[in-house]
Amino acid sequence: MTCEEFQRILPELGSGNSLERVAHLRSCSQCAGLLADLNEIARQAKQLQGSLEPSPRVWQCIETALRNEGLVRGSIALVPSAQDAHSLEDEAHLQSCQPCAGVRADLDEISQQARLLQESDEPSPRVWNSIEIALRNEGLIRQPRPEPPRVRHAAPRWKLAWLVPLAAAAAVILGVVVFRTTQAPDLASAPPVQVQSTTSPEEEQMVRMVADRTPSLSAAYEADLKAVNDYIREAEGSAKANPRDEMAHQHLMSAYEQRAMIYEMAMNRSLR
Amino acid sequence: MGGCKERATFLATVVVWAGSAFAADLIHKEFHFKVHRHASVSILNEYGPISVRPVSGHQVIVNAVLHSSRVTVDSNQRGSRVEIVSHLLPGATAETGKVEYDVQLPSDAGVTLDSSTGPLYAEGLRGDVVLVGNTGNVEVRNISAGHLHIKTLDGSVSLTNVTDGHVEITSVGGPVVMKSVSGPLVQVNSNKGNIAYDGDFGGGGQYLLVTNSGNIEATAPAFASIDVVAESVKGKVVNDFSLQPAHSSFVERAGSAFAGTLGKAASSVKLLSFSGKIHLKKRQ
Repeated sequence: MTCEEFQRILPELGSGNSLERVAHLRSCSQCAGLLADLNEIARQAKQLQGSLEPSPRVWQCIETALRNEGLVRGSIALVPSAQDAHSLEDEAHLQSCQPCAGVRADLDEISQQARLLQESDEPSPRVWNSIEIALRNEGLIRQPRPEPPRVRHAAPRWKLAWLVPLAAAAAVILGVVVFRTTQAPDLASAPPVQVQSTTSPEEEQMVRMVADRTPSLSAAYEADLKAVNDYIREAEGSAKANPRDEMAHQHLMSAYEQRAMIYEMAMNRSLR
Repeated sequence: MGGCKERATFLATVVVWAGSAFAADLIHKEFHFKVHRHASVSILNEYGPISVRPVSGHQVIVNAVLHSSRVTVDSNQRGSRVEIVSHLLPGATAETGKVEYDVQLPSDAGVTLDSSTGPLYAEGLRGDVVLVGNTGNVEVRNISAGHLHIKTLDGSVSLTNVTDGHVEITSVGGPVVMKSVSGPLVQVNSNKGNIAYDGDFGGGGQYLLVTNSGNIEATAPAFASIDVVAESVKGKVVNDFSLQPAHSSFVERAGSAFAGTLGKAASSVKLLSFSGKIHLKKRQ
Protein backbone atom coordinates (compact mmCIF):
# COMPACT_ATOMS: atom_id res chain seq x y z
CA MET A 1 0.00 0.00 0.00
CA THR A 2 1.35 3.42 -0.92
CA CYS A 3 1.02 6.60 1.10
CA GLU A 4 -1.46 7.97 -1.45
CA GLU A 5 -3.65 4.90 -1.13
CA PHE A 6 -3.47 5.11 2.61
CA GLN A 7 -4.58 8.75 2.63
CA ARG A 8 -7.62 7.87 0.56
CA ILE A 9 -8.88 5.50 3.21
CA LEU A 10 -8.03 7.66 6.20
CA PRO A 11 -11.70 8.33 7.09
CA GLU A 12 -12.52 4.64 7.23
CA LEU A 13 -9.66 3.77 9.55
CA GLY A 14 -11.76 4.31 12.62
CA SER A 15 -13.98 1.36 11.70
CA GLY A 16 -11.17 -1.17 11.74
CA ASN A 17 -7.76 -1.71 10.24
CA SER A 18 -6.88 -4.34 7.71
CA LEU A 19 -3.60 -6.17 7.89
CA GLU A 20 -2.41 -4.25 4.88
CA ARG A 21 -3.16 -0.93 6.55
CA VAL A 22 -1.49 -1.99 9.77
CA ALA A 23 1.55 -3.13 7.84
CA HIS A 24 1.76 0.20 6.07
CA LEU A 25 1.40 2.10 9.32
CA ARG A 26 4.25 0.10 10.82
CA SER A 27 6.50 0.79 7.90
CA CYS A 28 5.62 4.43 7.22
CA SER A 29 6.27 6.86 10.02
CA GLN A 30 4.75 9.75 8.08
CA CYS A 31 1.36 8.11 7.65
CA ALA A 32 1.50 6.88 11.23
CA GLY A 33 2.17 10.44 12.34
CA LEU A 34 -0.69 11.75 10.24
CA LEU A 35 -3.07 9.19 11.70
CA ALA A 36 -1.86 9.98 15.20
CA ASP A 37 -2.51 13.69 14.61
CA LEU A 38 -5.98 12.94 13.34
CA ASN A 39 -6.74 10.76 16.34
CA GLU A 40 -5.44 13.44 18.69
CA ILE A 41 -7.66 16.04 17.07
CA ALA A 42 -10.61 13.69 17.30
CA ARG A 43 -9.83 13.04 20.96
CA GLN A 44 -9.66 16.74 21.69
CA ALA A 45 -12.83 17.33 19.76
CA LYS A 46 -14.73 14.86 21.94
CA GLN A 47 -13.97 17.00 24.94
CA LEU A 48 -15.70 20.01 23.47
CA GLN A 49 -19.03 20.85 24.95
CA GLY A 50 -22.02 20.90 22.68
CA SER A 51 -22.60 24.51 23.54
CA LEU A 52 -19.16 25.33 22.26
CA GLU A 53 -19.91 24.22 18.75
CA PRO A 54 -19.11 27.02 16.32
CA SER A 55 -21.92 28.54 14.38
CA PRO A 56 -22.23 27.94 10.61
CA ARG A 57 -21.05 31.51 10.23
CA VAL A 58 -17.62 30.48 11.49
CA TRP A 59 -17.24 27.63 9.02
CA GLN A 60 -18.54 29.82 6.24
CA CYS A 61 -16.04 32.48 7.16
CA ILE A 62 -13.22 29.95 7.16
CA GLU A 63 -14.24 28.54 3.82
CA THR A 64 -14.50 31.99 2.27
CA ALA A 65 -11.09 32.91 3.56
CA LEU A 66 -9.46 29.78 2.17
CA ARG A 67 -11.12 30.30 -1.18
CA ASN A 68 -9.86 33.88 -1.21
CA GLU A 69 -6.38 32.61 -0.55
CA GLY A 70 -6.71 30.15 -3.38
CA LEU A 71 -5.80 27.29 -1.09
CA VAL A 72 -8.91 25.28 -1.78
CA ARG A 73 -11.19 25.06 -4.75
CA GLY A 74 -14.51 23.31 -5.01
CA SER A 75 -14.59 21.77 -1.57
CA ILE A 76 -14.72 22.78 2.05
CA ALA A 77 -12.18 25.14 3.54
CA LEU A 78 -10.96 25.33 7.08
CA VAL A 79 -8.45 28.12 7.61
CA PRO A 80 -9.09 31.84 7.71
CA SER A 81 -6.65 34.44 6.49
CA ALA A 82 -5.25 37.55 8.03
CA GLN A 83 -7.29 39.68 5.69
CA ASP A 84 -10.57 38.45 7.12
CA ALA A 85 -12.84 41.13 8.41
CA HIS A 86 -13.13 40.98 12.15
CA SER A 87 -15.47 42.84 14.33
CA LEU A 88 -14.16 45.55 16.57
CA GLU A 89 -15.02 43.38 19.51
CA ASP A 90 -12.95 40.50 18.14
CA GLU A 91 -10.03 42.77 17.46
CA ALA A 92 -10.24 44.23 20.94
CA HIS A 93 -10.25 40.75 22.40
CA LEU A 94 -7.24 39.74 20.34
CA GLN A 95 -5.34 42.75 21.61
CA SER A 96 -6.10 41.93 25.20
CA CYS A 97 -5.74 38.13 25.10
CA GLN A 98 -2.25 36.74 24.55
CA PRO A 99 -3.26 33.09 23.89
CA CYS A 100 -5.86 34.06 21.29
CA ALA A 101 -3.43 36.47 19.68
CA GLY A 102 -0.90 33.65 19.53
CA VAL A 103 -3.37 31.31 17.84
CA ARG A 104 -4.30 34.07 15.43
CA ALA A 105 -0.61 34.63 14.63
CA ASP A 106 -0.17 30.90 14.00
CA LEU A 107 -3.12 30.87 11.65
CA ASP A 108 -1.81 33.87 9.79
CA GLU A 109 1.56 32.16 9.46
CA ILE A 110 -0.06 29.00 8.13
CA SER A 111 -2.07 31.05 5.69
CA GLN A 112 1.05 32.85 4.57
CA GLN A 113 2.91 29.60 4.10
CA ALA A 114 0.00 28.11 2.21
CA ARG A 115 0.18 30.86 -0.39
CA LEU A 116 3.65 29.72 -1.28
CA LEU A 117 2.57 26.21 -2.07
CA GLN A 118 2.74 25.12 -5.64
CA GLU A 119 -0.50 24.04 -7.20
CA SER A 120 0.77 20.49 -7.29
CA ASP A 121 1.22 20.59 -3.53
CA GLU A 122 -2.40 21.34 -2.88
CA PRO A 123 -4.09 18.50 -1.03
CA SER A 124 -6.56 16.58 -3.11
CA PRO A 125 -10.28 17.01 -2.47
CA ARG A 126 -10.20 13.55 -0.92
CA VAL A 127 -8.01 14.85 1.87
CA TRP A 128 -10.46 17.64 2.67
CA ASN A 129 -13.26 15.15 2.41
CA SER A 130 -11.44 12.83 4.78
CA ILE A 131 -11.03 15.60 7.32
CA GLU A 132 -14.66 16.57 7.04
CA ILE A 133 -15.85 12.97 7.44
CA ALA A 134 -13.58 12.41 10.40
CA LEU A 135 -14.79 15.55 12.13
CA ARG A 136 -18.41 14.66 11.44
CA ASN A 137 -17.90 11.12 12.75
CA GLU A 138 -16.55 12.56 15.95
CA GLY A 139 -19.58 14.82 16.26
CA LEU A 140 -17.61 18.01 15.94
CA ILE A 141 -19.51 19.12 12.87
CA ARG A 142 -23.27 18.74 12.88
CA GLN A 143 -26.05 19.97 10.68
CA PRO A 144 -26.86 23.60 11.29
CA ARG A 145 -29.72 24.17 13.67
CA PRO A 146 -31.81 27.24 14.26
CA GLU A 147 -29.68 29.53 16.28
CA PRO A 148 -31.40 31.54 18.98
CA PRO A 149 -30.52 35.20 19.11
CA ARG A 150 -27.40 35.54 21.15
CA VAL A 151 -26.01 38.44 23.06
CA ARG A 152 -22.33 38.43 22.19
CA HIS A 153 -20.98 39.70 25.46
CA ALA A 154 -23.12 37.26 27.45
CA ALA A 155 -20.94 34.28 26.50
CA PRO A 156 -17.32 35.15 27.09
CA ARG A 157 -16.14 31.52 26.91
CA TRP A 158 -17.35 31.30 23.35
CA LYS A 159 -14.73 33.78 22.22
CA LEU A 160 -12.03 31.34 23.13
CA ALA A 161 -13.91 28.21 22.28
CA TRP A 162 -14.44 28.96 18.61
CA LEU A 163 -10.69 29.06 18.22
CA VAL A 164 -10.30 25.46 19.40
CA PRO A 165 -11.81 23.70 16.36
CA LEU A 166 -10.21 26.36 14.22
CA ALA A 167 -6.80 25.56 15.65
CA ALA A 168 -7.48 21.85 15.25
CA ALA A 169 -8.35 22.34 11.60
CA ALA A 170 -5.28 24.48 11.13
CA ALA A 171 -3.17 21.75 12.70
CA VAL A 172 -4.58 19.22 10.24
CA ILE A 173 -3.81 21.47 7.30
CA LEU A 174 -0.34 22.18 8.61
CA GLY A 175 0.20 18.45 9.04
CA VAL A 176 -0.90 17.80 5.47
CA VAL A 177 1.31 20.60 4.19
CA VAL A 178 4.32 19.30 6.10
CA PHE A 179 3.52 15.76 5.00
CA ARG A 180 3.37 16.84 1.38
CA THR A 181 6.50 18.92 1.47
CA THR A 182 8.51 16.18 3.15
CA GLN A 183 7.56 13.88 0.31
CA ALA A 184 9.15 16.30 -2.17
CA PRO A 185 12.67 17.01 -0.94
CA ASP A 186 13.79 18.69 -4.17
CA LEU A 187 15.22 21.91 -2.80
CA ALA A 188 15.31 23.60 -6.14
CA SER A 189 11.59 23.30 -6.69
CA ALA A 190 10.59 24.03 -3.11
CA PRO A 191 9.49 27.61 -2.55
CA PRO A 192 11.47 29.48 0.10
CA VAL A 193 9.67 30.02 3.36
CA GLN A 194 8.87 33.55 4.37
CA VAL A 195 9.80 34.42 7.91
CA GLN A 196 9.71 37.79 9.57
CA SER A 197 12.97 39.19 10.79
CA THR A 198 11.64 40.53 14.05
CA THR A 199 10.89 38.33 16.97
CA SER A 200 7.36 36.98 17.06
CA PRO A 201 5.02 37.25 20.06
CA GLU A 202 5.78 33.61 20.83
CA GLU A 203 9.48 34.36 20.87
CA GLU A 204 8.93 37.37 23.09
CA GLN A 205 7.02 35.13 25.45
CA MET A 206 9.86 32.64 25.34
CA VAL A 207 12.35 35.35 26.27
CA ARG A 208 10.11 36.36 29.16
CA MET A 209 10.11 32.76 30.37
CA VAL A 210 13.89 32.72 30.26
CA ALA A 211 13.96 36.03 32.14
CA ASP A 212 11.70 34.63 34.84
CA ARG A 213 14.12 31.80 35.40
CA THR A 214 17.45 33.48 34.69
CA PRO A 215 17.11 37.27 34.31
CA SER A 216 20.71 37.76 33.26
CA LEU A 217 20.22 35.59 30.17
CA SER A 218 17.15 37.25 28.68
CA ALA A 219 19.13 39.94 26.86
CA ALA A 220 21.38 37.33 25.27
CA TYR A 221 18.42 35.26 24.14
CA GLU A 222 16.63 38.27 22.71
CA ALA A 223 19.67 39.55 20.83
CA ASP A 224 20.54 36.12 19.50
CA LEU A 225 16.99 35.46 18.35
CA LYS A 226 17.02 38.70 16.40
CA ALA A 227 20.38 37.87 14.89
CA VAL A 228 19.19 34.42 13.86
CA ASN A 229 15.95 35.75 12.41
CA ASP A 230 17.91 38.28 10.38
CA TYR A 231 20.12 35.45 9.16
CA ILE A 232 17.05 33.46 8.15
CA ARG A 233 15.64 36.43 6.27
CA GLU A 234 18.89 37.01 4.38
CA ALA A 235 19.36 33.32 3.65
CA GLU A 236 15.80 33.08 2.38
CA GLY A 237 16.38 35.95 0.03
CA SER A 238 19.55 34.33 -1.24
CA ALA A 239 17.87 30.94 -1.69
CA LYS A 240 14.96 32.55 -3.46
CA ALA A 241 17.26 34.43 -5.82
CA ASN A 242 19.31 31.30 -6.46
CA PRO A 243 16.92 28.37 -6.11
CA ARG A 244 19.45 25.86 -7.43
CA ASP A 245 22.33 27.07 -5.30
CA GLU A 246 23.14 24.34 -2.81
CA MET A 247 25.17 26.68 -0.65
CA ALA A 248 22.31 29.16 -0.35
CA HIS A 249 20.08 26.38 0.93
CA GLN A 250 22.84 25.28 3.30
CA HIS A 251 22.83 28.77 4.83
CA LEU A 252 19.08 28.58 5.22
CA MET A 253 19.30 25.20 6.93
CA SER A 254 22.04 26.43 9.22
CA ALA A 255 20.00 29.47 10.20
CA TYR A 256 16.99 27.30 11.02
CA GLU A 257 19.19 24.97 13.05
CA GLN A 258 20.39 27.92 15.08
CA ARG A 259 16.86 29.03 15.79
CA ALA A 260 15.86 25.49 16.73
CA MET A 261 18.78 25.36 19.14
CA ILE A 262 17.72 28.60 20.82
CA TYR A 263 14.16 27.34 21.14
CA GLU A 264 15.37 24.07 22.63
CA MET A 265 17.70 25.73 25.09
CA ALA A 266 15.07 28.23 26.19
CA MET A 267 12.49 25.53 26.60
CA ASN A 268 14.79 23.31 28.62
CA ARG A 269 15.73 26.24 30.80
CA SER A 270 12.18 27.31 31.50
CA LEU A 271 11.12 23.76 32.33
CA ARG A 272 13.70 23.27 35.05
CA MET B 1 67.60 40.24 51.41
CA GLY B 2 66.06 39.79 54.81
CA GLY B 3 63.51 42.51 54.01
CA CYS B 4 62.40 40.66 50.90
CA LYS B 5 61.87 37.48 52.89
CA GLU B 6 59.78 39.34 55.43
CA ARG B 7 57.68 40.94 52.75
CA ALA B 8 57.14 37.57 51.05
CA THR B 9 56.09 36.01 54.34
CA PHE B 10 53.71 38.88 54.98
CA LEU B 11 52.21 38.62 51.54
CA ALA B 12 51.76 34.88 51.89
CA THR B 13 50.06 35.38 55.23
CA VAL B 14 47.73 37.96 53.77
CA VAL B 15 46.88 35.71 50.86
CA VAL B 16 46.16 32.72 53.12
CA TRP B 17 44.10 34.84 55.47
CA ALA B 18 42.12 36.42 52.66
CA GLY B 19 41.58 33.03 51.07
CA SER B 20 40.38 31.56 54.34
CA ALA B 21 38.00 34.43 54.89
CA PHE B 22 36.65 34.18 51.37
CA ALA B 23 36.31 30.42 51.60
CA ALA B 24 34.45 30.64 54.87
CA ASP B 25 31.11 30.87 53.07
CA LEU B 26 31.88 28.06 50.66
CA ILE B 27 30.39 24.64 51.19
CA HIS B 28 32.30 21.60 49.97
CA LYS B 29 30.54 18.39 49.04
CA GLU B 30 31.85 15.18 47.60
CA PHE B 31 29.88 12.37 45.98
CA HIS B 32 31.06 8.90 44.99
CA PHE B 33 29.23 6.57 42.64
CA LYS B 34 30.18 3.09 41.52
CA VAL B 35 29.34 2.52 37.88
CA HIS B 36 29.84 -0.06 35.17
CA ARG B 37 31.29 0.35 31.70
CA HIS B 38 29.90 3.10 29.49
CA ALA B 39 28.25 4.92 32.32
CA SER B 40 26.14 7.96 31.67
CA VAL B 41 26.79 11.07 33.73
CA SER B 42 24.69 14.22 33.51
CA ILE B 43 25.40 17.45 35.34
CA LEU B 44 23.03 20.37 35.27
CA ASN B 45 24.35 23.55 36.81
CA GLU B 46 22.54 26.86 36.73
CA TYR B 47 25.54 29.00 37.60
CA GLY B 48 29.17 28.01 37.74
CA PRO B 49 31.82 25.94 36.00
CA ILE B 50 31.91 22.21 35.36
CA SER B 51 35.15 20.40 34.77
CA VAL B 52 35.35 16.75 33.76
CA ARG B 53 38.43 14.55 33.53
CA PRO B 54 39.11 10.83 33.49
CA VAL B 55 39.96 8.63 36.45
CA SER B 56 40.90 4.98 36.65
CA GLY B 57 38.42 2.46 37.95
CA HIS B 58 34.67 2.24 37.67
CA GLN B 59 33.75 5.20 39.77
CA VAL B 60 32.47 8.72 39.46
CA ILE B 61 33.78 11.28 41.90
CA VAL B 62 32.03 14.62 42.09
CA ASN B 63 33.55 17.48 44.03
CA ALA B 64 31.16 20.38 44.39
CA VAL B 65 31.87 23.78 45.89
CA LEU B 66 28.67 25.63 46.73
CA HIS B 67 28.94 29.37 47.08
CA SER B 68 26.12 29.68 49.60
CA SER B 69 23.37 27.78 51.34
CA ARG B 70 20.89 29.12 48.80
CA VAL B 71 21.81 26.31 46.47
CA THR B 72 21.88 22.55 46.99
CA VAL B 73 23.18 19.66 44.96
CA ASP B 74 20.79 16.83 44.19
CA SER B 75 22.29 13.55 43.09
CA ASN B 76 20.60 10.53 41.68
CA GLN B 77 21.90 7.18 40.47
CA ARG B 78 20.05 4.52 38.52
CA GLY B 79 22.42 1.74 37.62
CA SER B 80 25.22 3.32 35.67
CA ARG B 81 23.30 6.50 35.07
CA VAL B 82 24.25 9.35 37.37
CA GLU B 83 22.47 12.68 37.47
CA ILE B 84 23.71 15.73 39.36
CA VAL B 85 21.57 18.84 39.51
CA SER B 86 22.17 22.19 41.19
CA HIS B 87 18.93 23.14 42.85
CA LEU B 88 18.40 26.84 43.46
CA LEU B 89 16.54 27.85 46.57
CA PRO B 90 14.35 30.96 46.82
CA GLY B 91 16.40 34.13 46.77
CA ALA B 92 19.37 32.60 45.02
CA THR B 93 21.27 34.88 42.67
CA ALA B 94 23.89 34.29 40.04
CA GLU B 95 26.50 34.62 42.76
CA THR B 96 24.86 32.83 45.68
CA GLY B 97 23.54 30.08 43.41
CA LYS B 98 26.92 29.30 42.00
CA VAL B 99 28.36 25.79 42.23
CA GLU B 100 31.79 24.72 40.99
CA TYR B 101 31.99 21.11 39.88
CA ASP B 102 35.13 19.07 39.46
CA VAL B 103 34.17 15.63 38.19
CA GLN B 104 36.30 12.55 37.68
CA LEU B 105 34.83 9.62 35.81
CA PRO B 106 35.77 6.60 33.66
CA SER B 107 37.05 7.69 30.28
CA ASP B 108 34.46 5.60 28.46
CA ALA B 109 31.54 7.33 30.16
CA GLY B 110 29.06 9.40 28.23
CA VAL B 111 28.81 12.92 29.60
CA THR B 112 26.25 15.69 29.41
CA LEU B 113 27.17 19.04 30.92
CA ASP B 114 24.82 22.01 31.00
CA SER B 115 25.56 25.36 32.59
CA SER B 116 24.22 28.85 31.97
CA THR B 117 27.20 30.96 32.86
CA GLY B 118 30.04 28.81 33.98
CA PRO B 119 32.76 27.56 31.67
CA LEU B 120 32.60 23.91 30.66
CA TYR B 121 35.75 21.83 30.42
CA ALA B 122 36.17 18.23 29.35
CA GLU B 123 39.31 16.27 28.65
CA GLY B 124 40.58 12.76 28.08
CA LEU B 125 37.25 11.09 27.36
CA ARG B 126 36.33 8.37 24.87
CA GLY B 127 32.57 8.38 25.26
CA ASP B 128 29.99 10.72 23.81
CA VAL B 129 30.13 14.24 25.17
CA VAL B 130 27.31 16.78 25.06
CA LEU B 131 28.07 20.29 26.28
CA VAL B 132 25.38 22.96 26.52
CA GLY B 133 26.31 26.46 27.57
CA ASN B 134 24.62 29.78 27.23
CA THR B 135 27.22 32.42 27.77
CA GLY B 136 30.00 30.38 29.33
CA ASN B 137 33.06 29.29 27.40
CA VAL B 138 33.56 25.68 26.36
CA GLU B 139 36.93 23.96 26.21
CA VAL B 140 37.56 20.38 25.13
CA ARG B 141 40.87 18.55 24.96
CA ASN B 142 42.03 15.07 23.99
CA ILE B 143 38.73 13.49 23.08
CA SER B 144 38.75 10.45 20.82
CA ALA B 145 36.30 7.94 19.42
CA GLY B 146 33.23 9.55 20.94
CA HIS B 147 30.79 12.00 19.46
CA LEU B 148 31.03 15.58 20.59
CA HIS B 149 28.03 17.89 20.49
CA ILE B 150 28.32 21.48 21.65
CA LYS B 151 25.55 24.04 21.82
CA THR B 152 26.15 27.54 23.02
CA LEU B 153 24.73 31.01 22.59
CA ASP B 154 27.62 33.38 23.00
CA GLY B 155 30.36 31.43 24.71
CA SER B 156 33.60 30.69 22.94
CA VAL B 157 34.40 27.13 21.93
CA SER B 158 37.90 25.71 21.92
CA LEU B 159 38.71 22.17 20.77
CA THR B 160 42.18 20.68 20.85
CA ASN B 161 43.16 17.20 19.70
CA VAL B 162 39.72 15.77 19.05
CA THR B 163 39.71 12.75 16.78
CA ASP B 164 37.66 9.88 15.34
CA GLY B 165 34.23 11.05 16.33
CA HIS B 166 31.41 13.21 15.07
CA VAL B 167 31.89 16.82 16.07
CA GLU B 168 28.86 19.06 15.84
CA ILE B 169 28.99 22.61 17.15
CA THR B 170 26.16 25.11 17.01
CA SER B 171 26.88 28.60 18.29
CA VAL B 172 25.23 31.94 17.76
CA GLY B 173 27.78 34.51 18.85
CA GLY B 174 30.88 32.85 20.18
CA PRO B 175 34.06 32.14 18.26
CA VAL B 176 35.05 28.55 17.53
CA VAL B 177 38.69 27.52 17.53
CA MET B 178 39.77 24.01 16.54
CA LYS B 179 43.28 22.63 16.65
CA SER B 180 44.08 19.10 15.46
CA VAL B 181 40.45 18.19 15.09
CA SER B 182 39.53 15.44 12.66
CA GLY B 183 36.92 12.78 12.24
CA PRO B 184 34.28 11.38 9.92
CA LEU B 185 32.10 14.44 10.51
CA VAL B 186 33.12 17.88 11.70
CA GLN B 187 30.37 20.45 11.49
CA VAL B 188 30.35 23.98 12.84
CA ASN B 189 27.33 26.23 12.54
CA SER B 190 27.80 29.78 13.78
CA ASN B 191 26.05 33.06 13.31
CA LYS B 192 28.31 35.91 14.35
CA GLY B 193 31.34 34.06 15.58
CA ASN B 194 34.59 33.52 13.73
CA ILE B 195 35.66 29.95 12.97
CA ALA B 196 39.31 28.96 13.05
CA TYR B 197 40.49 25.49 12.03
CA ASP B 198 44.08 24.34 12.22
CA GLY B 199 44.59 20.71 11.24
CA ASP B 200 45.04 18.31 8.36
CA PHE B 201 41.35 17.50 7.78
CA GLY B 202 42.10 13.83 8.44
CA GLY B 203 41.14 11.36 5.77
CA GLY B 204 37.68 10.48 4.56
CA GLY B 205 35.85 13.03 6.64
CA GLN B 206 33.24 15.63 5.90
CA TYR B 207 33.98 19.10 7.17
CA LEU B 208 31.32 21.77 7.03
CA LEU B 209 32.09 25.16 8.54
CA VAL B 210 29.24 27.66 8.18
CA THR B 211 28.91 31.14 9.58
CA ASN B 212 26.68 34.07 8.85
CA SER B 213 28.75 37.16 9.46
CA GLY B 214 31.86 35.63 11.00
CA ASN B 215 35.16 34.95 9.28
CA ILE B 216 36.55 31.51 8.57
CA GLU B 217 40.24 30.78 8.66
CA ALA B 218 41.21 27.21 7.83
CA THR B 219 44.87 26.32 8.06
CA ALA B 220 46.09 23.07 6.54
CA PRO B 221 49.46 21.55 5.63
CA ALA B 222 50.63 21.27 2.04
CA PHE B 223 50.05 17.50 2.15
CA ALA B 224 46.36 17.82 3.05
CA SER B 225 44.03 15.65 0.99
CA ILE B 226 40.83 17.58 0.46
CA ASP B 227 38.05 18.39 -1.94
CA VAL B 228 37.28 21.94 -0.96
CA VAL B 229 34.51 24.40 -1.72
CA ALA B 230 34.54 27.91 -0.27
CA GLU B 231 32.01 30.63 -0.81
CA SER B 232 31.15 33.92 0.79
CA VAL B 233 27.97 35.51 -0.52
CA LYS B 234 28.98 39.05 0.41
CA GLY B 235 32.54 38.69 1.65
CA LYS B 236 35.87 37.76 0.15
CA VAL B 237 37.63 34.43 -0.13
CA VAL B 238 41.36 33.89 -0.21
CA ASN B 239 43.15 30.66 -1.11
CA ASP B 240 46.83 29.95 -0.53
CA PHE B 241 46.83 26.56 -2.27
CA SER B 242 47.12 25.59 -5.90
CA LEU B 243 44.00 23.54 -6.24
CA GLN B 244 43.19 21.13 -9.03
CA PRO B 245 39.91 21.91 -10.77
CA ALA B 246 37.04 19.93 -9.36
CA HIS B 247 34.43 18.15 -11.45
CA SER B 248 31.34 19.74 -10.01
CA SER B 249 28.55 22.12 -10.87
CA PHE B 250 29.89 24.64 -8.40
CA VAL B 251 30.38 28.02 -10.03
CA GLU B 252 33.63 29.72 -9.09
CA ARG B 253 33.57 33.47 -8.72
CA ALA B 254 36.85 35.27 -8.44
CA GLY B 255 37.25 36.68 -4.98
CA SER B 256 34.07 35.25 -3.52
CA ALA B 257 34.03 31.54 -4.31
CA PHE B 258 36.47 28.80 -5.23
CA ALA B 259 36.55 25.04 -5.45
CA GLY B 260 39.13 22.39 -6.19
CA THR B 261 41.01 19.40 -4.91
CA LEU B 262 44.28 18.88 -3.15
CA GLY B 263 46.10 15.54 -3.08
CA LYS B 264 43.72 12.59 -3.36
CA ALA B 265 40.78 14.61 -2.11
CA ALA B 266 40.09 12.19 0.70
CA SER B 267 38.04 14.61 2.79
CA SER B 268 35.27 16.93 1.77
CA VAL B 269 35.63 20.47 3.05
CA LYS B 270 32.99 23.17 2.72
CA LEU B 271 33.66 26.65 4.02
CA LEU B 272 30.65 28.92 3.85
CA SER B 273 30.15 32.43 5.12
CA PHE B 274 27.36 34.79 4.23
CA SER B 275 29.10 38.10 4.75
CA GLY B 276 32.39 37.22 6.39
CA LYS B 277 35.82 36.58 4.95
CA ILE B 278 37.16 33.09 4.21
CA HIS B 279 40.83 32.24 4.13
CA LEU B 280 42.17 28.79 3.26
CA LYS B 281 45.65 29.13 4.60
CA LYS B 282 48.71 26.99 3.95
CA ARG B 283 50.62 26.10 7.08
CA GLN B 284 54.20 27.33 6.85
